[in-house]
Amino acid sequence: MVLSKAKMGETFKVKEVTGKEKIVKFLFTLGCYAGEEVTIISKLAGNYIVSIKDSRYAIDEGMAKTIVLDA
Amino acid sequence: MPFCGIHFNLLTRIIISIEKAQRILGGNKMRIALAGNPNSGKTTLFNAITGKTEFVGNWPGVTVEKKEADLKRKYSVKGESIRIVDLPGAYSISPYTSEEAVTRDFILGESIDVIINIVDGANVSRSLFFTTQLIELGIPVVVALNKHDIVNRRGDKIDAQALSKELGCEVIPTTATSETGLSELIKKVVEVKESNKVQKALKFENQNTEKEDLGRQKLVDKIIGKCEVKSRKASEITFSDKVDRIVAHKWLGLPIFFLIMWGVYTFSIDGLGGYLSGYFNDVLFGEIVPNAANGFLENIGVNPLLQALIVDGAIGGVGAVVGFLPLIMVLFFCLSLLEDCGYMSRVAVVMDRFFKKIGLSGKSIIPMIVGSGCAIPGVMATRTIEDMNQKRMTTILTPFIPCGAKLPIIALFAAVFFPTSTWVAPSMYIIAFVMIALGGLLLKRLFVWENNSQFILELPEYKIPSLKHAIIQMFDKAKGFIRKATTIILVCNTFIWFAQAYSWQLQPVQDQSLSILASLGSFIAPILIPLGFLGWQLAAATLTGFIAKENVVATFAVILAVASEEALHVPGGALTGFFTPVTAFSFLVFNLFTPPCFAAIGAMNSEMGSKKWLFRALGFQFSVGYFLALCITQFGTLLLYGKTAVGFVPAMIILIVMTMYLIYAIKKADAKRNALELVGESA
Amino acid sequence: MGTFIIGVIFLGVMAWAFINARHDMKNNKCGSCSGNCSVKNKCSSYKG
Repeated sequence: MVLSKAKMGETFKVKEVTGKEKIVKFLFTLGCYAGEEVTIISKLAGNYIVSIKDSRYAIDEGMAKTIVLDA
Repeated sequence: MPFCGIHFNLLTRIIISIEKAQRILGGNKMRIALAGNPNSGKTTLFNAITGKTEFVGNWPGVTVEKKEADLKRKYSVKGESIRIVDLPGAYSISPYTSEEAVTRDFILGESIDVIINIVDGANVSRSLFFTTQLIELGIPVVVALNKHDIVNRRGDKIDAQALSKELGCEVIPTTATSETGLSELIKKVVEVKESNKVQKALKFENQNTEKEDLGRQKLVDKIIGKCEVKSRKASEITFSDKVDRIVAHKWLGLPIFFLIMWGVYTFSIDGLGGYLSGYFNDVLFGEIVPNAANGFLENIGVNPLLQALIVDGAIGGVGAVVGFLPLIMVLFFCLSLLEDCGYMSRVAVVMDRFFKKIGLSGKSIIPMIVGSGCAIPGVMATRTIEDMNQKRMTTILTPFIPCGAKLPIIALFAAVFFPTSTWVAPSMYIIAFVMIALGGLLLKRLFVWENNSQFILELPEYKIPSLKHAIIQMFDKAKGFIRKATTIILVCNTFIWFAQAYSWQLQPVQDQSLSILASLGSFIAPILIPLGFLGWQLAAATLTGFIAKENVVATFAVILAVASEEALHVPGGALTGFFTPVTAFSFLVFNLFTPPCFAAIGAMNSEMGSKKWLFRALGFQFSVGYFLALCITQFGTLLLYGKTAVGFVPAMIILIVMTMYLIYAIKKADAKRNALELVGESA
Repeated sequence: MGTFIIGVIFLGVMAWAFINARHDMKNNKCGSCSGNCSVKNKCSSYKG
């Protein structure tokens, strides 16, 4: 299931990250890659607020669709 | 004045060669680089150990280039001179963002003795990824485990000793904001350099294969497991999260943002700042200083022409600008508080939805907010935008926000023509936003480019903005403002005074319209007629505005000092001879939306990447300013006064031509777009 | 006499202003900003 469809407030393990290589690598360095945990904090103003490894990030719909979660 | 931008590349190369030569000649001055994640506290540390006042903002992209300075004497161990280089934040050596590229290029290319890797104590595991890469460079690394105060406050525990053992390098806990641990850090750094030990890289599985990064992460996780104990889960809802729910709310977010901005600008322009500026302008530079100067000079029996040059030209012009100093100081104080607390990232989140409609992402709001102080760092802040087209578009639109230098113009015209209404100044910002939206939409139609914006932005935790930092920023800006006034503006004013007092034959003239300035202004003046601006004086003022926007005010002061004894900014003062309230508003808009000062144009040139785009940008900006002013004058005069303004006929003709060209350009772009789509489909 | 003294002083001031203005314009992208505006920090072109 892609991140954009995930339930708020829940923690998931990432299954894979799709999309352009540059972005996959960037997300990787933040700690978003297969096997790592990601928590969906909330959805604000059309953007998803996620928690990856102790930090909060805002990502838009486009990016949220590229993160596939284990669920 | 030459475009700074045109000579920029050559100058940079010269500067870099000079630096290299200095380094070779200067012998073995130790060079230390500060590297680490964005928002980890690098620049705070940099400021603390060098005594500089570089800007610290709680949003990504504050530091877009490296900055160098010497270590403060109080931190130096044996009195030697040490050079510190602050690099932009990076998450890794393989760059995604342009800031990461600067970091990588610098560390790999320059001669660095020791790297201080600033690790964010609030997010150690993410920081360590970069650390493991830095360790592989062979240069000794000392880790500054920063934000130790936050670590303690949260109740987390990090074993610095264990971490040091795992990494194979020294680890010093620090808190840059309170300057704790910094002397130990520097001592350790010098020790490490002297011991000449080679930095050993760490081993982990899958090295040098495709899965290297994964192996690296696993190593980091292992290390974290041994050294860090967290007191709470990161995914728990924090206070910051709760605030975000309101501040970045789908419907509340935007109004809240406007409210805050309105508050900041009104407080600066109409409130405290305006009040103090009023005093400066009316009393200090309106009466006290000129009267004293005149009295003094007359008593000495100075030649009246020289007296006029000094009092009306130099003092008058500079005084007119410096009078607005309090206003600018208040604005920058407020902006600093706003930027320091971390709210800016939230603004980007709120604006993302709207910016997507014009093909940009929420990140583009940051250069614009920075631009409300000065367009130059605003334009530079576009470096955080990876997509070239989005970056260009943002660069074109950023100068639309009134910068600090335009404030005197706004304040002056508001005081003379609209003394009782408080809506004039804020309206400039509202118009700016509207034009950014419209301009953005227009640019999207006019230029053919793909826009798939992907938006990801870190949201740092809110923090109480540092008053000390804001005050330092405020005085810094004041210093800069006064310096600008006493150098470039003073020089310009003196020339202006001279140009309006003398004819081409170098004879003093009684009638200003026979002067050098008048003939120069008259050259340009015809272009301004459709806008309802009559007179060489207005053309001259607008022209000088390109050197520095404050000059518009200064030039008027100098030119009109001859015409009237009264201070410039009295309601109904000398300016009313040239404008009606409608054309005054129009003139304001014109100067705000035409291309910015040369220095800002230079910055635009650096960011645009090609001259073709620079000229397109300038053309666009000028057209917008011209078009807006034209419409306001012509239609405003018709609506409000029931008669046509000056230059009505040529204005209508120009309007028709512009509209036709616009339709043509859009059709051309559409055709190009369709052609590309067909190609895409068949491919 | 007064004219001469004041004139010289003024010329001195102008020369100082002019030299500084050129120095500012040549030394950084900030051009006329003289690297002292609050932006000097964000400007990052100002070399110490």
